[in-house]
Amino acid sequence: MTEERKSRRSFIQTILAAVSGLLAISPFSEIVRYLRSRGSAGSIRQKIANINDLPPNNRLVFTYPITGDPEKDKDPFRKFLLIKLPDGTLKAYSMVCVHLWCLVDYKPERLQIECPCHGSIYDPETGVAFKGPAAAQPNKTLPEVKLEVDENGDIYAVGVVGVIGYGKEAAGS
Amino acid sequence: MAKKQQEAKKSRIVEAYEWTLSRLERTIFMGIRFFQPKRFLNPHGFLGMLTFITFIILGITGVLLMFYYKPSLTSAYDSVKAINDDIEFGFILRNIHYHASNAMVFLALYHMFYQFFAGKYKLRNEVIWITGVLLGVLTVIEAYTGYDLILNERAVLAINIGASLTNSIPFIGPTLAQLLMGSGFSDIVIRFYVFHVFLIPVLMGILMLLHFPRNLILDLPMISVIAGGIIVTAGIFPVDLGAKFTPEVPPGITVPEWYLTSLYAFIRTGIDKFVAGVLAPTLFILLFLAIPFIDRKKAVHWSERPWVSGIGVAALGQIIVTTVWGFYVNPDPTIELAERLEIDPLPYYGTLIAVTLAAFALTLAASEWVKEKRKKRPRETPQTFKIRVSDKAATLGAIILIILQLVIAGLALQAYTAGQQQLALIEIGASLMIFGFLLHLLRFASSQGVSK
Ligand code: FES
Repeated sequence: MTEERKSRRSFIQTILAAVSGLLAISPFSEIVRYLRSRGSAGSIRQKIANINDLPPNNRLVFTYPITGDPEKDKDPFRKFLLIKLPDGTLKAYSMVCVHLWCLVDYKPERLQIECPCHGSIYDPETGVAFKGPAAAQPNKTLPEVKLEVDENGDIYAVGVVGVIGYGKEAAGS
Repeated sequence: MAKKQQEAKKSRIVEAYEWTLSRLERTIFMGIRFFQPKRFLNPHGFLGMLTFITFIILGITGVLLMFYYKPSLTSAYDSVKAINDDIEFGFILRNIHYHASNAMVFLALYHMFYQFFAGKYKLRNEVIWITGVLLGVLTVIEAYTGYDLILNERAVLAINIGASLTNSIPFIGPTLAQLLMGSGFSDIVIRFYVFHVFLIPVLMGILMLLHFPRNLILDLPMISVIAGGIIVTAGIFPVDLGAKFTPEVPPGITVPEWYLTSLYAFIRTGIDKFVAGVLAPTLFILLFLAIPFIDRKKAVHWSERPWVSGIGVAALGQIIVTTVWGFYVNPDPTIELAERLEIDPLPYYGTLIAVTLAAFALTLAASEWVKEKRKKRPRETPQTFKIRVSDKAATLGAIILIILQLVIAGLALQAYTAGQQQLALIEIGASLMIFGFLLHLLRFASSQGVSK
């Protein structure tokens, strides 16, 4: 065997070994699901309330996704507002202010979402901040929960748009 | 006769010592040669070793703090509070840990700049230089993940900034942030804990294998004095707990730890978060990593490579200006907090440019001047000390120091039992410093070989 053939053979062998090695570890790429820690995989469908539980121009706080772990369920990042606007529209937003992570709340008397910390105010119809430090940021919209209402009037959360604590503008979910 | 016996005895100990050494030669340990200087050395030459010693102090105190710290959303703060206020000796350990962390960041920076100006990254030391810069970055991240674990207002501000900077990275940011931090505080606190007590220290350990030179200076007197000094500082400036983070209540004004205020200042000027908080520091670090490949000249003395030295002086100036500026918050309480935190970009960046220009101008001018001087007057050999200490005097001095230590140790115990923990810390540190002085006194005397 010539030197050239020898080196070609060892080159091919290296390539084969590398391909095989990559294939062997490739299933571990699913480890991203482990690291994401969403409570469970995919978008979770969770019942929040019935449409009759909530009069117009009112709100309730819900935990999503509920894990059953009291420690995790206390996390501000799992706290959301379900708002029934005066016209009956349902909206749900993360309670974590996109400024510095205080918890916002809906104020029926002023028809707006307010943050207790530095005075950011959000529009309840869109979740966009129009006043305060959050409004000055490029990412100024509260992440929104996608809702579904079934024929019994049960309201379900079916996923979050945006990154909690950072804003609806962020890609991914 | 007695002397002979003593010699025989000694040689048996020496024998055992040599036996062990020859067996250790089979291990990796003997690849490193520890050199114990016989006289006072300028600590600039072994700042790296001093940094490593603070790393060891942090490891010991950190492991002990792990016995009581709870990495959970609901009990992290309370567990630190318990360590600080209730658990015996917890206050002492926590404060030593905290001040050693500051000392480590400071010593690492000092070490880097000293090596930079001394041109030590040349002479086949490129790998040592690069691993050193990486170790410096990891040191800051390690300190950052550490103070986040308390979950007080300052910690949550830092976590918030870290999360929003990660999120701001184009395309991969939000995914990356989620992979690193999970889905909320309860994930963050456990993960930062894992990073802080395991992942980053292990990474640092591996990098240290590639950073340590073969010959290490182990200057025990100086090590003891520095370690003691850290403990004394901890006693004088104990760290407070801060207010617990409660998302329903407006927080007070907090600024990050001093090694991050420069980053904070950039973010507060209102320019794009990614540019200010990710891109700029990354470029800064890359510049330092690339220095050995930018500066390829043989010359080592700083004045012989004025432009590179100018980069160092400018970087130093920028770090100082931005760090100090990062602490500034408009004191006027009538305006809104968000506005008070804003930094006017014009004077800020103006000052930075001015500092940079001044740094280069000064360095270039100074290097010309120094070069002339060096040409005229060839190197003088430094004068050696002429003070002589006899063995007898040294022994007497050592005994006096030990008596002093005894008194201080007694006082420290008394202060501790009386609940004066700060005083106890100061005295513990002082005693360690005296130990350093004593070692120095002894080596000073024996190096002269004068006996009377
Ligand atoms: S945290 Fe909501 S305005 Fe600052």
